[in-house]
Amino acid sequence: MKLPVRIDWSKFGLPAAFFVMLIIFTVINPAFFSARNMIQTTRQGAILFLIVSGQTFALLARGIDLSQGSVMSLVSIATISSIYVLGAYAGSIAGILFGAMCGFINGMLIAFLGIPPILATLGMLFVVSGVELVYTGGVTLTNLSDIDQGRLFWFGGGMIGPVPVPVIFAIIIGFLLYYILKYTLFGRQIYLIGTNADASSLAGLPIKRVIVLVYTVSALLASLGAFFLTARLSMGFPQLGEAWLVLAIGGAVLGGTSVFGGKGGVWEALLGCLVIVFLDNGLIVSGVSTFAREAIIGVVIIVACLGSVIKRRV
Amino acid sequence: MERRVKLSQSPILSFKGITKRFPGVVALRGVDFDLYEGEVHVLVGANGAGKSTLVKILAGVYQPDEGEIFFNDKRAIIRNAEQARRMGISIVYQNFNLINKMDVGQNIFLNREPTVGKIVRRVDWSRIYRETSAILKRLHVHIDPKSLVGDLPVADHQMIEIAKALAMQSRILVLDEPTSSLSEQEIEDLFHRISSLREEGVAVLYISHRLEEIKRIGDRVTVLRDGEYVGSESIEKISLEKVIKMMLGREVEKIYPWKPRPVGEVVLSVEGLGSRGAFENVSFSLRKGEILGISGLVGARRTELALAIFGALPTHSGRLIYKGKAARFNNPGDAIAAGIGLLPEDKARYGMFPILSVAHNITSAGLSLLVRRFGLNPRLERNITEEYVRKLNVRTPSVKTEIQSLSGGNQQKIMLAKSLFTNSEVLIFDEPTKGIDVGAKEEIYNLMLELAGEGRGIIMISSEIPEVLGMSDRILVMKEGRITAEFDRENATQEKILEAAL
Amino acid sequence: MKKKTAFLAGVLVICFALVFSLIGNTQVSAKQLEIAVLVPNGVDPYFTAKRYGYETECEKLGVKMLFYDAGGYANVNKQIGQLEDLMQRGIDGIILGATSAKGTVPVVDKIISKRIPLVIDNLDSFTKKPVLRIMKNGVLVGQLRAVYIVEHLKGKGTVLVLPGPSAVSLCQDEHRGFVTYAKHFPGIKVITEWTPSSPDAGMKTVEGILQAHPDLKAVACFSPPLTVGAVRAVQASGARKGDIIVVGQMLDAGMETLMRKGWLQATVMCDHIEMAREAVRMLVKEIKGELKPPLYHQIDHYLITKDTLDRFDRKGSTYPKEWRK
Repeated sequence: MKLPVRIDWSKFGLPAAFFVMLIIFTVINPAFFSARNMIQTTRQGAILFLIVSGQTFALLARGIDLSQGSVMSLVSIATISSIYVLGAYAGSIAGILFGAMCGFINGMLIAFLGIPPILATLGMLFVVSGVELVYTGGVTLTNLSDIDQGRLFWFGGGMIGPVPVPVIFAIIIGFLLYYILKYTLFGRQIYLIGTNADASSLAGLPIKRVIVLVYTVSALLASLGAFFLTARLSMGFPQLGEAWLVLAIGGAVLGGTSVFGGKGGVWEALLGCLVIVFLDNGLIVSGVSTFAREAIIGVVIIVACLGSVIKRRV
Repeated sequence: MERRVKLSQSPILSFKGITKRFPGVVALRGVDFDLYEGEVHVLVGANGAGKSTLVKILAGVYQPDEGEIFFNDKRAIIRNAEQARRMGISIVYQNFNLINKMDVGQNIFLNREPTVGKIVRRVDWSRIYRETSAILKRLHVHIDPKSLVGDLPVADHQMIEIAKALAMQSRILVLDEPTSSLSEQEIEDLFHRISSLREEGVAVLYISHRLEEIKRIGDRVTVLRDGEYVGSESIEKISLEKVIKMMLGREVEKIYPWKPRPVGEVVLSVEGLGSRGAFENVSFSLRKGEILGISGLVGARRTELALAIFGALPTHSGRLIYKGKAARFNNPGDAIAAGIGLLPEDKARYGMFPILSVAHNITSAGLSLLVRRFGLNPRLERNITEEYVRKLNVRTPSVKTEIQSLSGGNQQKIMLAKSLFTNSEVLIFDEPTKGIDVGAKEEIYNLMLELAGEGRGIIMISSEIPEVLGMSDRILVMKEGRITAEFDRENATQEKILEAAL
Repeated sequence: MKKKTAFLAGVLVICFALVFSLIGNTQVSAKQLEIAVLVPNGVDPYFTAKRYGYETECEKLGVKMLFYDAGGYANVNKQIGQLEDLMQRGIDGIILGATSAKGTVPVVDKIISKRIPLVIDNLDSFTKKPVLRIMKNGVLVGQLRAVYIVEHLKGKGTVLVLPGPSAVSLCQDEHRGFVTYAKHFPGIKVITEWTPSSPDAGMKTVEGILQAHPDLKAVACFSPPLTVGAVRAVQASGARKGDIIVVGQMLDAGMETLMRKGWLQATVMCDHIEMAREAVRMLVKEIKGELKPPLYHQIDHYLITKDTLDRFDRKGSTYPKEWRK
């Protein structure tokens, strides 16, 4: 006798594991499920979601964006420096545009000079981190005026009703990205190009334009993530993004986006980043030591990558 | 040629009641099948009959759900490709597993490199190249063992794959569609080689869609249909008609359904077109409703001509006149927008998006046609693609199925739907029936006639002379980048075409 | 085509390297004393400040200074190369902040045996030969924080320690200093979380620990970014100023603001610029033969609070804004 409904574990396995994980952590320490912990964890999740979504765009196009971390650091510095001159709102926009511009350059290098994505974005990583360290001399930037500080902080640390501001932004941006990937020419073209670039070329797709846009979006989303994080900390930190690149790629792959292009999306990005953020937080709240925590998250990401590779082979 | 199969001895390999299920489909149902040493066993079957599933079970890629495999009378489980190799099974796939960036010798000895030295084991390169050239000599192919595989023509890739199998001392050699990219001379060489392998006692499992080859090379034939075992027969006891009947489950009256039909004004003229390093001074015209066949041997540069018309290959001389006006297609996008569709020869590389759905594949070249007020309209996409699937009789569970899970013939139909989706008025079909079986071929021929009847101009590039003769209204013959002959349907014969092509 | 571009790029890089090395060489002068300062990671603000100390002191003593940056702690080989070049060209003396305590031992041994005067500044090389050293005291730094926290909690409460990256020996020393002191007070419960030295890591960790231990009373942070991150988490938790004591490391502009506003209770300082000056003085004395027996110089550490913020001598730890390398 077979069950009438068969559960497709490749689709529902991760969400199921996620909910089991939430229950286990709540049993270990009920404080895990407290309103305050949920709020602060979703706030972190919102920031990671933006970055993972950006990486997802690059992965879907069968590329990778290694410069995301250093672009984040740059945005952190550029935002605070710009606010000194332009005030909170214009300064923030300027900072984010700085980051997006790096992505545009990545895209141009890849599309028009034919440099492989892994090299182009790695080069950008070194250039950007070099530039900002020379600019700041490694010093953190703080001391905004009280008005600017208040305005900036709202974006990262403020609340609208019971929901943190970055979460609201992430939800809006998430829907927008979902729409772009599913209902626009650009979105569909990313999947096609990521799956088979030669066939895309013969199908008359504007490959170069799509690639440039993909890396611009990737950097723009990383920049938005960096902006919310900078706003939350109210400081510009020249190594802000260093730890985030691994989480960005890991989160995307963990959620089910393929490193071989053409497979994945916003839903996968959301799943991946929720698992990472709640796993990390849950382990801290449960009192697991730092070393064990890093090892556990690392193992989870590696297992997810293996899964992705195996799926591709079959 | 005398064929002796010692059926008295027991088979080297036999399948007993092999069943393999995939979600929603039974790919193989209770298949029995024996393979003896020293025989060439031809495996035939229509689209999705289960031939490739059977090969993959043999290769250890899939495990059967039911049934048993016996190897030398002992029950065997083939867990993976490595184990298959150790059992002496070599498989030459239709799409080759060669590494383009390595040379011939490196490919043939890949992962089995002989070593010298006791303490520091280093690869014995001189032995690799010595043995490679010996094997290639046995195959009568003149390839430098040190040339890069990527630089060699596709026809040579086939020979290198077979050389690889020979180098492994295989006892069972599986050839999947080995002749699909070979010229007549190369096929003759290959058959010669297969015959001598048979004399050496190798069991050859030969999978082909070219029915005329069964008689030329086979000792026995096994027919699969829709995953079921229809029967095995000795070649001497069976007629080709009988094989076709077994494959299709019905009689075939006529393979080429060509009918006379009205032909309209000229839609596309090519005037003195040349592309550096490929072809020179090519001129011809195509009328509405006409099927123009282009014949020639491998290397005649027919594919390059198609790509140049399509805007995918730069030209340095000549021009195109499309619908009465000079036209210039700088890229495939321009050509598609103007109403030209291309069905590429190498569909795995230039046509398919393997992990995407049937629907996404069909619409990939004409996405802007799906744009409505709120962007791409998925319902419209589903309706249109379902219509195509129905019209072209594509066997797929739904339009959401990944195209890579379909059989070759169904994939080809989807590629056809893709070139139709953009409302093309000129269709260039490059080897439209390559690697697909009789049933699907017939469907594609009928469809071509229907399209021509609607007033579209069709250029059909084909290496199979009977096909060109059977389907074209007019025939061009190309040789080494030039058009060497043009025939009307009435005047064309196999001999004349061959003469112009050689 | 591509190969050609790559080749041209390669040629260009080599040309640049040649030009730069020529510029470097032309600056050699004859009589003046010439010393070299090697730091592992020049962009670190700590080394920026120290460079100010080295430069001003060299200027004062009329010594010519060459500055070498290894460009990161990972570039041990680069630093070894720099030291070997210096031995070749014959330098009067060397101040070394080592990229690796173990990896630099052979080259340091060679320098010592060649009798080139050498001072190791804070980042140690574990040579067994006698050599001049000027060092911070990590254990003392950690202990100072523990003393402040234990005193203000009156010997009772849960304390979170954020020592930074676990691989850095100075962080380990500081952590050891804290824990060995706090151990004497049974009412003090210590939680240690090793993290990268970044504000978001600090914030995330403190937020999580506040859930696991709502009774958290104090946080000890071992780097400026961690300090700011910890304060942000405390601010977001709804705690009032001073409910949770935060003790930091060093003092930058942002931390000074937080301290004035009452969110940062104390921070541990050392006069690292003064330390750089002292290193130059030690080296020059050694070169001139005024200082003979090998000497291990330990510099002072002190703790400042809001009350002492305007009253401590900043000369040893800050450099003028207009000076920037």
